Amino acid sequence: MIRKRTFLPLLFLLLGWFAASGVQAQNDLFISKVFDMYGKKKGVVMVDLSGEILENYRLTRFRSITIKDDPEAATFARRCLERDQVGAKKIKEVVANGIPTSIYLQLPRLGQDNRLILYNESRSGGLRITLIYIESNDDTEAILKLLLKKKQ
Amino acid sequence: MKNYLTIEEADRLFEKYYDGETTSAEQELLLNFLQQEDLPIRFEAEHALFGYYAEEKLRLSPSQELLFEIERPLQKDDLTEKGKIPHRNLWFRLNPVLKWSFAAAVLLFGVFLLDNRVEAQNSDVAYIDGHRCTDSREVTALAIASIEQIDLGSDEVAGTVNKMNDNNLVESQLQQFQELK
Repeated sequence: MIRKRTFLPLLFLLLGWFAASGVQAQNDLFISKVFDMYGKKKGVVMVDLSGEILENYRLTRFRSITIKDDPEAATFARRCLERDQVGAKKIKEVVANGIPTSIYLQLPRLGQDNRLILYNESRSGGLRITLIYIESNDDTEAILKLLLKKKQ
Repeated sequence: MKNYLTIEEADRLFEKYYDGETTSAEQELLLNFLQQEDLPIRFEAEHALFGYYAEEKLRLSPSQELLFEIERPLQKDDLTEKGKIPHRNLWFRLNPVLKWSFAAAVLLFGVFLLDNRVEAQNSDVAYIDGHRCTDSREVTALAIASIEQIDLGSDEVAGTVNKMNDNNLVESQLQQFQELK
């Protein structure tokens, strides 16, 4: 009985916690850990859009993170990408000295959403990694066109 | 206060009960009184009435039950044989630790939902060196800056996407080997 008395309250709290975190977990991807772990650190710029700004761009979610001079973060991001590549289509991969410096992935659709991951690693002027995650109802081609347009 | 009633006392208390003036302790006494065997037949109506309330209480959902919660926790002996609460339910109801932890779990879930809702309303956000920024112009500029760091300019990417979307890709590639036939 004593065991039950301590076990059940804990179980309720855990259930409440899991239910809540289940709501929060918006995606099933390993790269979300990169955003979670490094997003609010010094030397990092993270952008998370899912509101009004995206209305003009036909995107439903845009997340980007730029991390400077953090080789550990780069290694971690590459590992996460390796895991997320399973089942995804690789649009582009550039490998320099055995290290992937550009990886673009088209992930399996999640409901209506087409999902893309873009990763770039640059070493000119210090190490800088950029990771972008995009969700859209449009197809990949349209998303890339939109991004190209934004670049110009 | 004694915990049993004589028939005369019960009569007086029932009168008080019908006038709506009994306390919960007095109602408990009445309930105990009605559980006795060999009561005079004139108490049959009260027996049925108290038995009905006990049964109704069992049928209520937990949320409804909270509305009708009496001042003191129910005791197993309070109910007639027919309306006895299953032991597990009774234990759950009587255990304040359980009750409060369940309430805490619900509260925790509610706080998370509220937090998510508030966050969703203000969902265009950037963090620069850990500092939160919600200025839409700045956030947009940062998003575009991050896109600029990605090399999308080559035709290679567009070409690959085209190939991926080409359902006849395999057939067209195999056609190149037709000559070998």
